[in-house]
Amino acid sequence: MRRLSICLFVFCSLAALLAPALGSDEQLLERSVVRIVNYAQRGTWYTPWDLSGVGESSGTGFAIGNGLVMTNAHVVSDSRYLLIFVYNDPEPRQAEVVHIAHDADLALIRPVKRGALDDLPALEFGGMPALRTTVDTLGYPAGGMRLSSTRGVVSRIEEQLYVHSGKDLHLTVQTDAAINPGNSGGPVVQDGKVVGVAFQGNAGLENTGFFIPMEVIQRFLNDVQDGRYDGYPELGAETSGLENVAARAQAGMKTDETGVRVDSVYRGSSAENGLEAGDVILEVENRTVANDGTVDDGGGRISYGLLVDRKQIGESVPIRLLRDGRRIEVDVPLTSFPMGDAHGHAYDRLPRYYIYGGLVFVPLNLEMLKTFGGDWHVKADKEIVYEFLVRPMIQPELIQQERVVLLRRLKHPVNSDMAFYRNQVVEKVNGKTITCLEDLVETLENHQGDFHLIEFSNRRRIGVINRLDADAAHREILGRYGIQEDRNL
Amino acid sequence: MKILGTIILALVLWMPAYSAEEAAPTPGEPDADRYARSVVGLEVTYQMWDEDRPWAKTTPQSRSGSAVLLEGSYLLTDAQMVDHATLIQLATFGRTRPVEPRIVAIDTEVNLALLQVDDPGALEGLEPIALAESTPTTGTLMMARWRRQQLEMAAARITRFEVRRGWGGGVEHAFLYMRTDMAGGGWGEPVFENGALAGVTVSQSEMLGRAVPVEILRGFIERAKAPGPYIGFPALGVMWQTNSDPAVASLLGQEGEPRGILIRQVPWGTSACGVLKPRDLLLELDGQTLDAEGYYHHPRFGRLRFGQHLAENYQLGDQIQVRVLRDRQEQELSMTLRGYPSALDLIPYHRTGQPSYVIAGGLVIRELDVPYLRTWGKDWDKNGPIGLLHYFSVSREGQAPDSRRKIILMMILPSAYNAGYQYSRDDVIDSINGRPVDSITDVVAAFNEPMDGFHVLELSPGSSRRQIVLDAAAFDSATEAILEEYGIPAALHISEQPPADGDGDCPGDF
Repeated sequence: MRRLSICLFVFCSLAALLAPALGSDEQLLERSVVRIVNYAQRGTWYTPWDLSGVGESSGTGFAIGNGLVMTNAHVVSDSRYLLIFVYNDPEPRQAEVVHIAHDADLALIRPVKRGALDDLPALEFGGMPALRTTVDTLGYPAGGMRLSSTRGVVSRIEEQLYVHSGKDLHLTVQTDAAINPGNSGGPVVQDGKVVGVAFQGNAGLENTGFFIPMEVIQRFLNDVQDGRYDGYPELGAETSGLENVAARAQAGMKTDETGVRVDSVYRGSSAENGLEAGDVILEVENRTVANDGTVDDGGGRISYGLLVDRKQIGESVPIRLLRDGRRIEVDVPLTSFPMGDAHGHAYDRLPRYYIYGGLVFVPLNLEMLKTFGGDWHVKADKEIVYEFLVRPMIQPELIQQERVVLLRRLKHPVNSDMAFYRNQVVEKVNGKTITCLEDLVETLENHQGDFHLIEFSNRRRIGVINRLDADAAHREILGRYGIQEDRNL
Repeated sequence: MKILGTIILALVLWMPAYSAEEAAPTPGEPDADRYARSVVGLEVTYQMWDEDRPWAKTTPQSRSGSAVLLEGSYLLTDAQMVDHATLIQLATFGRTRPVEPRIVAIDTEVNLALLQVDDPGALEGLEPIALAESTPTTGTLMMARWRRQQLEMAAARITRFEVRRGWGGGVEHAFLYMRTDMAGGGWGEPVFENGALAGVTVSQSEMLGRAVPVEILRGFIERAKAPGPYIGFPALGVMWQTNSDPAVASLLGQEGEPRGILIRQVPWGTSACGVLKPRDLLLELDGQTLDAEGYYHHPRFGRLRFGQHLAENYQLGDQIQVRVLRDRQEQELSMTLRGYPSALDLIPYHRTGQPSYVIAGGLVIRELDVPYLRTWGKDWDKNGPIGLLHYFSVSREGQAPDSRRKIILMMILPSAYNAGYQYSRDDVIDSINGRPVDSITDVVAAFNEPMDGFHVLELSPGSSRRQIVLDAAAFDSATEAILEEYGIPAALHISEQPPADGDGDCPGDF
């Protein structure tokens, strides 16, 4: 399971002004580094027909040429109105998002009026900074109007959760340069070249910040070359280490062989085309996989999954396997992860829902669970947590399905006698298995019987609604609760 | 939930409020004097099993509470008082005596225990009290206990009667709810009316006390005194939902006002197993009509949930008639009543005695039960791992003949032999060496038949790894060495699993 909220998200919020610390290098750079102000509005998942209030936040970005500014995805998410402030220029420029990668927390924006930023010098990209070397972080922390620069040492290079999506693990670089709210999206510079984008902190560690390294940035830039961001491919296989000598012997490995065991392959994933449960992965991209699942990456060790991370969707990855005593090579074509969307935070899209007879149906996803609060693991009904996290592991066909939840009801005489009307995962309606919200709409709108029979997935609970009464009351319920649309599909 | 340790042991002062010599009955004496001769204190030392280290016990602790003396040197108290007891001592007139009452019967379902004192001399000056004919339905009762050698009496105003699941979780019966003036009660204090016993308290939250009423006390005492092993109270044992929604009733073919309850699930081994089916509407239990919320009319207490009807009026093995609406037709069916001991649940709510476990190559393997889940603290049902909790709280799965318990890899005692697996914990074991396991006995048997020189454990989906492989040749010596290294006295404990109450061919849902 992916752990959430390990890291303190670098919120773009307004706080006390920090004193700018400008050195001579920074004076050259500061014309390229801009302040971004975002007016954002999100959907609300407990009242999915409604929108949230408008929030204002600010972050940092930097010019990379062609009139484009790079920043974090979280700085420009859910944007309704976006402004760029250039150094020493009181006039903001309205901007728009060109590409946004929520899984890598990166975005490219540009001024609405083309050419309006062409006078900014583009920063050059460098490479991966070495451990224990010094980097400078540039940005507008805490909403300050003047550029701030902080200096720190590269202290660790490691795979970590990107909290913006809440589900993606990529390489990060840890530094003790202060990375504060508002720094987000700012360049991390070494020898005058950009070596990363500042993006998150960690509440558990003092004086540490994290930046996105060049390999993730470069992958993003390559991905959008075709004019569209496709995102990361995922192998979709669960593997476990073979540190135990008996496990290796039982798998039929020679004493000099190392690798990891494929425990399961997700339905509809890349791994389905090449891997089988019980296989031992010996090599990925011609690199030997150690018993703990790591490969050598130019001196440092990284998890073999990062080799897949560096690929684009549509490419393939060569894997050497031990299967039933035979050593074989497979080339696994890479696709995205089938379960990905439901398990991450949602941005730039409004909640899907359908209301019938005052019953509000929504897909089961992370945003829906977050209506229980940040600690939904504890607060949400155990049944629904189980349906979300565990059941798809046991019933693989569910991985590719959208689970539908009866979120709540808008109370009305047509539904007020229902015994269960909150947070129930719907299994069948009128005998039809529900695999997505559209299935539910289809059966509720076309069923001709007197009653709709709703079967929930836990403890064989059922709910019944009188079809004619519900149909007749439908408009009235929407009106009573001030709802414009009965659906967003 | 009871608050432990709030009761301070009464200090032995040399100024008794009552002395045995003066305690002769006199006509017209105040009730307090009468109660003082029938209420005794219990000083219990108890020691729980360490659920995280099932081979060890936790530190001994003590609790004190009350019992009431009945005819025949019997003492009645709540079952939680004597749970895990290592020593039970009697205190009369507020002073501890070197007397150990013997446990006659404990029923964790209705939360009652009957003890007996073999030495009549120990009860000198005491006088048994009679059971009330019935529990009054309104008014104020008296609750009594000993405190610092004084009898503490408190008014307990009856607020309501309500049928709930008992402590063990399977049997439902009525509880008497009282607003009491006694602080920290709920530990077996007798509740009196007119010089007779009307109830025994089993819990108290703030000033709201809960007592088992005499209608259930009487049934328990009769069962406890009956020769042979203790046989508990009957229960229907089904999962059901209310039928108050006219749309549901109409869909199922019921005309008029909805009535009866909607059966959802019929676990193996229960009274209803093989008789009721999911989607039946249960309309009548032996002539008692059930309303859409599962209530019937109790002759004294008014509307109560149906569990009380079974608990108060029937014995295990009784045949009763039930009326159901099935496939739009009303039918009369016959049912043999069974109990619902906690052991019948896939994940038992309560366990007496030591957990069943085995240490195999450093893998600590045990049966999953609620006492183990409670190690996640006060909010264990929220904070525990979802992969284990769901068997208890989500699916409420019952046992099946081929699935009696969930077996978990609780933790690993790290060593070179099991290196690489040390992060696995709290994972459900599906099979060992190709054999499904649902008891520690199965686990031991499975380890006796390695596959091609290896022990292969398959862990259930959602575990951090799905397979554990151990070298079978070195298994015994590695286990020995690990026990030695970690100072563990025994590699194995198997508690006898009481046979399920159901008969073998009862299929559960059908």
